[in-house]
This record gives sequence, structure tokens and C-alpha cells, in this order.
Amino acid sequence: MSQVLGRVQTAFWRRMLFGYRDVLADPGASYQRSVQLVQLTYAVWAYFALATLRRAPGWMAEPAADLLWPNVWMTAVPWTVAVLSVVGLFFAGTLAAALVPRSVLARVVAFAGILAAQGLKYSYDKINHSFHLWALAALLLIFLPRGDEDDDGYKRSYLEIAWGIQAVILATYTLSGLQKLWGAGLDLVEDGHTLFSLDSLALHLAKVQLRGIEDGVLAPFVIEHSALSGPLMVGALAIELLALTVLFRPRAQRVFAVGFIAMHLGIGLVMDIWFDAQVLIVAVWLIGTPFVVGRQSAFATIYELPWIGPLLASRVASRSGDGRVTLYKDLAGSSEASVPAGVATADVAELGLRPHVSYAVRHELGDASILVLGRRAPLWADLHADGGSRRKQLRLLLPTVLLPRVEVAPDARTRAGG
Amino acid sequence: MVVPVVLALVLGVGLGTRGQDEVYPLAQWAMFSRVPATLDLWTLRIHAVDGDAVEGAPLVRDVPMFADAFAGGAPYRSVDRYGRALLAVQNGHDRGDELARNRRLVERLFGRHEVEYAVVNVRGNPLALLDGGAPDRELDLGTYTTR
Repeated sequence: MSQVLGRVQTAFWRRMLFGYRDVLADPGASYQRSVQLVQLTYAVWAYFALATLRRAPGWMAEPAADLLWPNVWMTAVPWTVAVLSVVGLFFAGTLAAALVPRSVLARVVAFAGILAAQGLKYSYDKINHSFHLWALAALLLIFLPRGDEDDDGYKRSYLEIAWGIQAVILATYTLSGLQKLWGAGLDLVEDGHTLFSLDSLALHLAKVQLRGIEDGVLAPFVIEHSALSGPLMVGALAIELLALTVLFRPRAQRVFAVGFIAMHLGIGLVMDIWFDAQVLIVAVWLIGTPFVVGRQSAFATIYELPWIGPLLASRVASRSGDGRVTLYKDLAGSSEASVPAGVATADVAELGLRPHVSYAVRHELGDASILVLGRRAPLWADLHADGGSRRKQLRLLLPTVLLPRVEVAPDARTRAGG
Repeated sequence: MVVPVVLALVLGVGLGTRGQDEVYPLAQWAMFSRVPATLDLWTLRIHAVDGDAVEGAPLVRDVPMFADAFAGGAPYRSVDRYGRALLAVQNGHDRGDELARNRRLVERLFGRHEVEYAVVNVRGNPLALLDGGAPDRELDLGTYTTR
């Protein structure tokens, strides 16, 4: 039994971590990038700490009435001493960690300072979530491993923490999506008006305006064209729900990061709610992802996008290919394969693609060829192309949503390869 | 091992604290998860200013001379607390101090004008209300004059 479970587990992780196969084989470059990101993270925190120092006089002048849990100890010491301790710990700790990120002591002090200083700030006002991910990143960074930099095992352990920071960032977006889905269910039961309604975002804006709070500069436009607002909400929901999936698709992380930042920009312009610090950590840890180092092809990046990737990637390849087809993702990595010309089912065993591909079919379209790779029998292999018709090509692309094993290359006559 | 633990905390608090306070630095991340198809809003209807009747008794946000003074989160909260406290007092609850404090804060927003106003709770579609439409339901807690 345990052997079966072990095999399933191994197979599961092999599949889930397929996008990391290069990193796991040679973690050197990703490790170097992670080391830089860790140092940058503490440097950013030191900047936040510096910006917080100017609040200290105000805090010292008036104690907070309702302290958050990391700050309850502050009532046991003179208030001025407590405030100075908190801001001092915050600045000194984060600066020390930025200078000596390998020091466990510096990282622990930095986290303690971060937790206390942010807690003190929120004890005076409502809790702002924009810095939560930075704080959780600092928590994870305490557990960076100690070891020999030449040891690949050490580098992989280090990368595990970097991966954890990405996981936490992405998980919060997925959480937000799940909460919206839950809320939509409740709304459906109560009055049938959910975020899937065309005017859902406009309703939020109208509510805020009726409460006398200024919306963003684009709010009047969205309210006036309220039917446009629902699709924006659904778009945000989609990107949020799928966020955690790109944890296993490293090449798609940058695309999603741009999506998150665009979403925050949109929220800022429409609702005047700006998640500046959140945007920054997305930029640092997802756009600067340590798991995609060096030049990447647009094809591989787009192919890893959940669901729509294979469809979009097919289009990209049909425009930019040079007669060679690269097999990406869980097909055959970047290995080369030859596919006979003309519409034919190839013996994939001879192509060396097993177990990833169970069939390969080539369609000639005159000015382009479509290489169909899949795991099951090609349901539409009998669709023959006629004379380079783009319409025909699009028809062929449609099923790729259901059978996402399609790649297109212009004039790939007899050879397909990386 | 630490990554699954922290991830479980993030997800656990996010999904498990529904209806409760968040646990700093963890949160529900539930902003804008409900669509406000119907809004309950405490506001004022202006009946007269400096002895002159105001036609149609509009909501205060639709009276140009007071619109700016009543814009913003702080005036909204004052009116909201005023309305809730007034309702509580009318229902026999002991919230007289809160009522007096918020009435004073709200009436200060009228400046030196003597204003006759009604405290009302309107309920309706936010877009329709914003567009000046009639509320689905309106609760009038009485008419008052600035002190």
C-alpha cells in the first residue's frame, strides 16, 4: 500500500513540479536570484522602517487605546520607551538583515520589529492589508537554511523558502477569489444579484459614493456605463481564482503578476484604493521570479497559462516559428522530434515521445502546418486543410481548448524540433 | 515543512474566520465579496433653510450649499451614528449621550444656517439612489431644527 501511495505521490509531484525540472536539475542560477531577492526584500523593509520613523513622535504623544496582540506588552513599560523600542527594532532589524541576510539573529529581530511596528500602526487605525504579505515573507525568511553554498541540496532548500513566499502571495489572491465566489452564492440566495451581474462593480461604487466617500477618477465612467462593470469583476475573479495554479507554472508567473498589478491599478483608478506595497511585493517576487532565469520563449510562457495557454500558444507559434516545432510543457520538454509530412498519424514510439504523447498528426495548410500532439486519439484528425485557409486554421484551433496538445508552425515540412 | 505550515495558516485563517475579526497579520481577503444590490443609508432630508422652505425636501447630498460639507467618510459616519442612536433612543434604549454628541457633530456641518431637517433611513438600489431615484422604502424618524 505504502509503495502505491509513494508511487502516486512521486508521480503527482513529478507532474506538478514539471515546470521546475530545469531548476531542480541545476538550481544555481535560481539560487543566485533568490539570494538577491531576499536582500532586496529586507532593503525594501528598511525603507518602510525609515518612512515609519516620522510617525514616532505622534505615537509617543498619545498611546493607542486598543493595541493589537503583538503590542500588548507595551503597556507594561513607559510608553515612550516602548514606542522607541518598536521603531528602533524595526529599523535596526531590517537594516541588519539587508546587510547580513545570512544572519538568523538579524532575520528574527527584523521580523519582530516588523510585526510590532506594523501592529502599532494598525492599533491606531484600521488594519491595512497591504503590508501583510511583506510581513509573512519576513516570517518565512527566518527559516532560510544554513549550509554550504556549493551544495545543490542547500540551494534547493533555500529555493523552497522562495517558493513558499510565492505560494503565500498567490494564495491570498486565490483566497480573495474564493471569498467572492462564496459571497456570490450568498447573494444568489438572498436577492439574485451577484458579482456576475452586469452592474456589480457599479453597485459597489454607487454605495461608496452614497456614503460620501470619493471614488477613483474612473468611477463616474464606470457608473455611467454600469453594464461594463460586471465583466471587470468577473475578470478579476478569474485571475484571482487561478492565482495559485501558477505556483506550478513558473513561466506564467510574470504574466499573472502583470495581471495582478493591472487589477490593482484598475481598483486604484476606479475605487481610489491603492495597494502600493502589495504591488511592490508582486513585482519583486513574481515578476522577478527566481524560477525563470535567462531568456524564455514567448511560446513556453504563454503555453503555461492555465486553460487558454495552449490555444494562445498555438497562435503565437503560427506567427513566429521558423519551420521548427518545439515541444513544450509535459509533452517532451525541448526534445526534438520528426513528424512525417502530410496528414498522417505517426508512430510516436519512433518519435521518442512516449509516455508524454500517444499520437502525432500533421496538417498541411499551404503557408503553415499544424502539428497535433495528444494523449488520446485525435478526435478531429480527419479535418483536412485546404490551401492555406486561415479560417480553416482557426477551426482547427478551436478544439485545442478541449485537447490542449496542439502546436502550429509555419511551413514545418518534415522536421519538428527544439 | 515551514512552507506548508505558513500556507495552511494563511488559507485556514482566510477561510475559517468568516464573520469574526481577522488575526493580524493574517486576513480573510474578502474585500468586495458581496454585491450591495440594496443599500440601507442613514441621511437627512432638508425641509427648510433659514426659514425658507426647500422644495421637494431633497436629501442633504442633493442640496448644493451643503453637499461639500456632508461629503467624506467622517460626515457619513456622524450621520450614520446619529440615525442609529436616534432609532435606539426612540426604541427605549439608553443611548442619549451618543445621540447628543452625534447630533451636535452633524448640525455643526450646517454652519451658521438654521436648518429644519428630517432624519431618515432610505433603502434601495444604490445606482438608483445615486441617480436621484425614489427609495424602495423610507423610515422617517422625525423633523428637527438645528440648535
